[in-house]
Amino acid sequence: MRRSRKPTPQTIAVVLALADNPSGWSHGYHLCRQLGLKAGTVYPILMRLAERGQVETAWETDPPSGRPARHLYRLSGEGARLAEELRAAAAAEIPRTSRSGGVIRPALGEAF
Amino acid sequence: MTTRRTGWIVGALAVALVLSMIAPGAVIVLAVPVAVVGSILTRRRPTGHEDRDVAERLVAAAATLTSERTSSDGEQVDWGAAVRAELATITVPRERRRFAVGAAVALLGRPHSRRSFVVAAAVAVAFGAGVLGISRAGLGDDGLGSVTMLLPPVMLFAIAYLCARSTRSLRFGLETGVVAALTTLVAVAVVYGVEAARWYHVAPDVSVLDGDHVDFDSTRAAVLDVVHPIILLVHLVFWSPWPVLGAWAGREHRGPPPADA
Repeated sequence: MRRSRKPTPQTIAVVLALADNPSGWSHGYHLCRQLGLKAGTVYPILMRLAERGQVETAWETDPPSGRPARHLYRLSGEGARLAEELRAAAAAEIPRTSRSGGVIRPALGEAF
Repeated sequence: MTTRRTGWIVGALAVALVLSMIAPGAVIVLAVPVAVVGSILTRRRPTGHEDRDVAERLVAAAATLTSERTSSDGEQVDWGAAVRAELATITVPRERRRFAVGAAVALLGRPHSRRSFVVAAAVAVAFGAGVLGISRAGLGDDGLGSVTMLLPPVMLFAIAYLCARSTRSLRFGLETGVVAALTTLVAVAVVYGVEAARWYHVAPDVSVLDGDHVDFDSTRAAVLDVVHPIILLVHLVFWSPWPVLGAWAGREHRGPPPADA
């Protein structure tokens, strides 16, 4: 039985960033820069999401000569449903956060 | 390549020489893995990546240590190759180093395989039962020490080798070998404790460890003599290189992975 735990703010940020990518596929390093997170944070999240089937992975099919094919990530159907749930939860959370004076970290705030 | 081969031969001879002074039987038992590893490693081809920077070397080392070809659901996954490919797109040296450190932490920190613990537990139980059986059959002149010191290196080498070879995963071989070493140490400590207490009542002046005559004034003293932290630490130090060498040899046996890892 899989344990169901509340996602961390970093996991939420990665899921929503993947959901917001109009081109579909994202690169790991691009996610790091977009979210202001280190590779040591983003990659474990991607690994977990991939193992749970919430993220699909693929290799670049036509990389430029001189460098290896990059690994690509996008949300699966299950991942997209998770993103919707997280968005709804975040929307419900914002009024409460505003009332309590809570501060969202600037780097992660970009993902919301 | 010739220099490396010579290095391994000299190293194996040095190990054999040292061991022959401590325990002549150990020469045969422990020099064999050294010879196997040496012969495998000296067959390696040059990588052609000698000009790699620190970041690439770091990621490559972490990728090698954690390499595995399939995920639990059978899908092909190579996170080491993924982060190496990503690193290849970063040109700023400082940014490369930052990314490499994070990626290495991510690779090395992946959750451990449950199979490693199952195999390690089975190994420890089997070995503990074997030592118990030997003890019940009689301590002989050498006690149990020669068995618990010399047999586990071969066993741990073989387990790590087989695990790494069968899965093409250095990580799985290393994890299983190292965890098996720890669980086997626990099994040895338990068997030593039980048997020291038992033998104290049968032959109070005999050490379970080496069969020597020792004057114990209580069961507790007899038990503490053999499960002393130093005794257990010596076991662990003596065993520890072999699962590492076994995993390494197991992975190298199949040659370099097909990807660029």
